[in-house]
Amino acid sequence: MHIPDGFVSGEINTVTYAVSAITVGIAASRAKKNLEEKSVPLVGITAAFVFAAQMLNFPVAGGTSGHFLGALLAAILLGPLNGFLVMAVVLVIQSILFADGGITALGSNIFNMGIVAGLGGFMIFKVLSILLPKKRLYFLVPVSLASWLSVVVASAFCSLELALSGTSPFSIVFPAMVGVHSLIGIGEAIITTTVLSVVMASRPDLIYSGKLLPEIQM
Amino acid sequence: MKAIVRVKTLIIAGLVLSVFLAFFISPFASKSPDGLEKVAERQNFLSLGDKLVWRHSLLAEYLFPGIKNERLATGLAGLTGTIVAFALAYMIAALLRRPGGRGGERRQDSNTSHRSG
Repeated sequence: MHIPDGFVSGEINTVTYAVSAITVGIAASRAKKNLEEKSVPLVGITAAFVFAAQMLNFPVAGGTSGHFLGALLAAILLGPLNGFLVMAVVLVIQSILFADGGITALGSNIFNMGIVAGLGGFMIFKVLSILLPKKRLYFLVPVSLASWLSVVVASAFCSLELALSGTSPFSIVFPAMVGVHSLIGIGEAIITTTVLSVVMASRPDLIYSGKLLPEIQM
Repeated sequence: MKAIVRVKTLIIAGLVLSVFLAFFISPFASKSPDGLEKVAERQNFLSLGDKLVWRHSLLAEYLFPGIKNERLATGLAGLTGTIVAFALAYMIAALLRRPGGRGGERRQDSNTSHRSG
């Protein structure tokens, strides 16, 4: 759901640019405290994986494709703000180097895919984790639900920006975006859950959220 | 919490997997429009996105310049992007991380996490 130039109005892009820039500033200043030295290579790997996996469009219904987003995976692996920084780095590279996502819409894309999907998705994940039993298996239930929701809610915000820009009426663009991303979100949930299962089986101590929830027996 | 695999191994495995996906698999990814493009096409606003503001994207359309074979061009573009993403995120993280931090030290107190991420 990388928005190109021209879809979203200047007003909306200005607001989302401002919110995204402030969030980048907060995340960068907090990284001093919440980024461990041994996590530095993990930040690089997460960015590389998110970028590579985002290239792998898979077909969904009706001649449409979707791809992995990775915002919740990054948030759970690295912590929400560090994960957000990874998403911002990937989106900047895609926009500048690949013309994937307009440069004027970069703020909106970071807002939707970094703030809404990443930070919002992480909040959903935390709430669900608190509600569910603290067992290893149940760690993956909030992971899959929150990763699906992260994509769906991000697409809802994308449709809101399009509607507020006068590009397409909300009553049409909202169900269309949320509908197709409900399918794409299934791929998101499968990939996020698989990757986290592998990391949990090999190095559970590296998962930021594993430390946040120490009562989970890893 | 048992550490079964060394961090270095996991990092290398992650990087190899990412490079593999970007170089060998991405050329075979679906070419269909993505969710947003499809909606734009159906609702007749796709043409609004025709004008690029920044026109200096070296790897636009995920194609490496000067390569005629499209699959190779896609694979090389993917490989380049993956390396750039790794290097840029790594450098930013290294610059931002708390100064003088020694990774091992925080292992003990990290369970009582006070980190407001």
